Amino acid sequence: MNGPPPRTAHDPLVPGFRFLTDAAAPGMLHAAVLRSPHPHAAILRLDVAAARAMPGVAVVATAHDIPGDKRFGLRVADQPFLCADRVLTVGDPVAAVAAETPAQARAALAAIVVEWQPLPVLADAAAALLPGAPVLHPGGNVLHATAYQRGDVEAGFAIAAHIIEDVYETPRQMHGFIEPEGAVAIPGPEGLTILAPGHWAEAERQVIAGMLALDPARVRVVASPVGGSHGGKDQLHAQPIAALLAHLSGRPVRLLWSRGESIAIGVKRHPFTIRMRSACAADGTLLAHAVGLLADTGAYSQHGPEVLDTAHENAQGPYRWPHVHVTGRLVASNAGNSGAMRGFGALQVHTALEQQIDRLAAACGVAPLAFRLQNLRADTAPGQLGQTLAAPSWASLAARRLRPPPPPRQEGRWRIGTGIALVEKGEGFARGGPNQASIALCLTPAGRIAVQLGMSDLGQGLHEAAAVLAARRLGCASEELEVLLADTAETPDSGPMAASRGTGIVHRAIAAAAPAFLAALLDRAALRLGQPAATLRLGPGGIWAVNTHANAPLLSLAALAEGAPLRVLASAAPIETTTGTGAVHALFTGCAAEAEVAVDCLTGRVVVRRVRLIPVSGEVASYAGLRAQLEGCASIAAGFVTLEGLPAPQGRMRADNLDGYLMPTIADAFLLDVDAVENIPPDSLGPRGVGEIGINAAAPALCNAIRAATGFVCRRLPVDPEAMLTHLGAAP
Amino acid sequence: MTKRPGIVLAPRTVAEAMAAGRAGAVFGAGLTALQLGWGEDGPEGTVADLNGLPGLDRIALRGDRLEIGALVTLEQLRRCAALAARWPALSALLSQIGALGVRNLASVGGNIAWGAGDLVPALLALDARLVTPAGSIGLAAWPPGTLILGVEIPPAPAFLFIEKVGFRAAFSPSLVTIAATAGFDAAGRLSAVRIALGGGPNRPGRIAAAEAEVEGCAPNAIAPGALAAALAGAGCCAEDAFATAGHRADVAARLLGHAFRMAAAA
Repeated sequence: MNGPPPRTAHDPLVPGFRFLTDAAAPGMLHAAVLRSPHPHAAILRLDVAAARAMPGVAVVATAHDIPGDKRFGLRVADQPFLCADRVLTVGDPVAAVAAETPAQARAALAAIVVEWQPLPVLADAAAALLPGAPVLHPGGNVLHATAYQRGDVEAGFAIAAHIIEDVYETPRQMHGFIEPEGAVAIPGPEGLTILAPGHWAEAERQVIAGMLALDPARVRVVASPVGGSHGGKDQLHAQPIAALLAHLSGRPVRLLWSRGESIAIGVKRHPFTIRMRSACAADGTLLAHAVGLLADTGAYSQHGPEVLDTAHENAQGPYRWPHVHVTGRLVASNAGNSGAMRGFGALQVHTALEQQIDRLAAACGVAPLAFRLQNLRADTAPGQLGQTLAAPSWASLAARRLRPPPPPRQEGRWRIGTGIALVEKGEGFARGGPNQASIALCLTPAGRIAVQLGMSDLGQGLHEAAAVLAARRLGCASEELEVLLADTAETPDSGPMAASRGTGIVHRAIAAAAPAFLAALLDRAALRLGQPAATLRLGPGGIWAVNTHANAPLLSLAALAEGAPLRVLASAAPIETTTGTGAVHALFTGCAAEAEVAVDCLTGRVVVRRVRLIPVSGEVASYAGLRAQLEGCASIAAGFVTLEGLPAPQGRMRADNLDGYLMPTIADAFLLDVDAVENIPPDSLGPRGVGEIGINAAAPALCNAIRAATGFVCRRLPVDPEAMLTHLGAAP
Repeated sequence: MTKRPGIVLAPRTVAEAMAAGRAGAVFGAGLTALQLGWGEDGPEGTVADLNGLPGLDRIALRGDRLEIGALVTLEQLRRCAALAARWPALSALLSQIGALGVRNLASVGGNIAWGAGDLVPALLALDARLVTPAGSIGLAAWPPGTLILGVEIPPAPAFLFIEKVGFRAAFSPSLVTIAATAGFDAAGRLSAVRIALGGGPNRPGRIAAAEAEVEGCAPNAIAPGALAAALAGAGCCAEDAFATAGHRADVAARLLGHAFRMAAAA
């Protein structure tokens, strides 16, 4: 058996890299899933008898074959592993086959008899709210709601000099990772091993054990490395069905989603409809802000409640509003599955809010930058929902690096404009989330120092960040470190790799574990060397004497490793607050952005020319990693604003392949300046995560650049070139 | 339910290829477009792989005319120095077709025969001729599905404009691909205008009404609205999930008007 990939092969660009689902095992079966062709239908009859008799078929599973839990979900377990009586979206799974060959598995699917009764389709959140709409979930179609009020918005509007009111719509965006969803499940004497890209191996293990009614100790999940995710593999995907088929057949099973399956059933960014009414006084002082949020979560809750909470929490931005009223609804529909995607919830409201801010500034004749500085909340003020913060976001430091946008200009057929934006976004999870993170530091028998962490490398460089930060904290060389990620057989639970928390978690968890680990190392060295531990230190290559000019260690790590294994487990405490209203974060990251676009007056197409991102990063673990993260952020933002969107008319995704869903390519790449704010007042929280915040800042800056260039308000993203041409009028 | 696996023939001569075609085979070379229609089990019908036909992978400049073999790849043609020197707009168009990996496989003949290829409107405007087993024919007269051996591009006109409008910077489906050739009379008015449109879902063809609209006009006197109406009225612009037909015609008219004005100003 080939098993999991070598621990060092975390970088897809390094020869020898293998995706987890490239693993093969002797006697491995190939799986295929029968999926609903209907957006909404009852299953009147499901007959798999003929399929079970097909050549090469080892097992056919339906919901009735699941021994344990039938549904899963993050906050609400409302998504069936296999649908028994009703499907809520195209692609919902109803039966699964494992056979000797992929062709035999597909042939068996065709032999499954399903009698469907199509039901009325709720194509989007608005349809799901209409009176008489079919009810998709026992508690109704509204799966989550939020409300927050401060002051009296109507009183604020009554005395306002300027009010901007509008409705903004944001698109269903797709992650577009290279490696589609998939899983390999391998039964063995010690239990079931699942190799599948994911964000949180421990939670995946718990859910799979619950589904199979197994002791979690009998399930092992290896979830790293990941061939791209951007949040799209943050929830279970192919793992449960692969595990079920392996469990039932007693044989290894590989289940790979096709790109078409990934597009139909993989999660997407939540489409939002955002109504904002925002007001300021004649001198530009912000007065009142009323926000209504409507999010389409598709068939099941998935990350929807967290997404809505995040939108709700960020609807005010880093500004002072005396009067605020925010309400939000998360609504189920028959349009696929919405879920986690980088920057979620906050991105949608940031694009609306920052356009409102620019439009208010224009209404009262104040420059956009001056307007923001004038209305910025104090760094030490409570958070947007009144919560006490663990540390300021220091958004002000980013704001002060912004330059006033130059006026728009015409260059031949192009209209050029520059926009700015200022945002902050929570890091880690709101209170009650899986904020604790454990880490283990080990001296391996081979004399290497191992960092064991339950989070995954999604391609963002967690592996490198962990090695660099551990070496920095411990004083050894980073090449003496080995990092093991997301393998429940060995790594402790660190919570999910999500919410921009990876780098900060590594920093804090290593800080928590390092004193005890170093003490254990030096105590052992002191015994071996016969001198006090206080005279020793860990350095490159091993144990060194302090206060000497020696140029070699006294004791190598290999020599020190002889004897009993040495492992220290420690946890980073959650950063949470008990103050404030609702699901609030205690730590925010600030980021500012400048963006320049060129709008083609002949075609209406928007081209991104330049983006400057100013994240408040604090200490930087890896400059290459920081830049790579922000390049990804800026590109995702550019796609969100100018190109990407997956409409689902009548509940059917418009594309079934990447030729129908256009994302920016390398030819669309633009100049990116990164100007990270590294020097912030010191605290114990470590580097701030930049995996998402660049999207949140760049997207609204692009919207504002488009408006600056053309006067076009980005009410609906991505910008439709036809709408732009209509706005521009006659050709120049 | 398992599909019958497809059959791939490898004719070595034009006669063998034509025989395969008469027997129902689909001609293929780079297969970049054809394979899009295949399922997991490959082609269902018979494909005649033309890559074994000799002598069709060359480009030759004969006087002022360019002769391009049907098996010349799009990338090979893009890198042709004679093309870049004499027909720079056509050379530039090639960089907007597919991605490099596609252009390295896709053939000139295939791009034409596919029907949705971006080369077609450009070649129509250029009055290019196809080399077929039956001899040289005008592109518009080519019977779909029949064998193409090469393309002949006539001498470069005084004015040549080609633009493919996509949705992103590269590797994009076409919104519209628009091409025009013209001369200018002594008074600076457009003469002998040829306008062709195609790309993506659009039905490629010359647009006589658009040609008539601008023939004899001073470029600055072209009315964009009337040109757009002429382009839209031809019915070549298609509506699909990405854009309306009216938008495609509007963009084509704006591009043409702009190109004529720029040429007049130069």
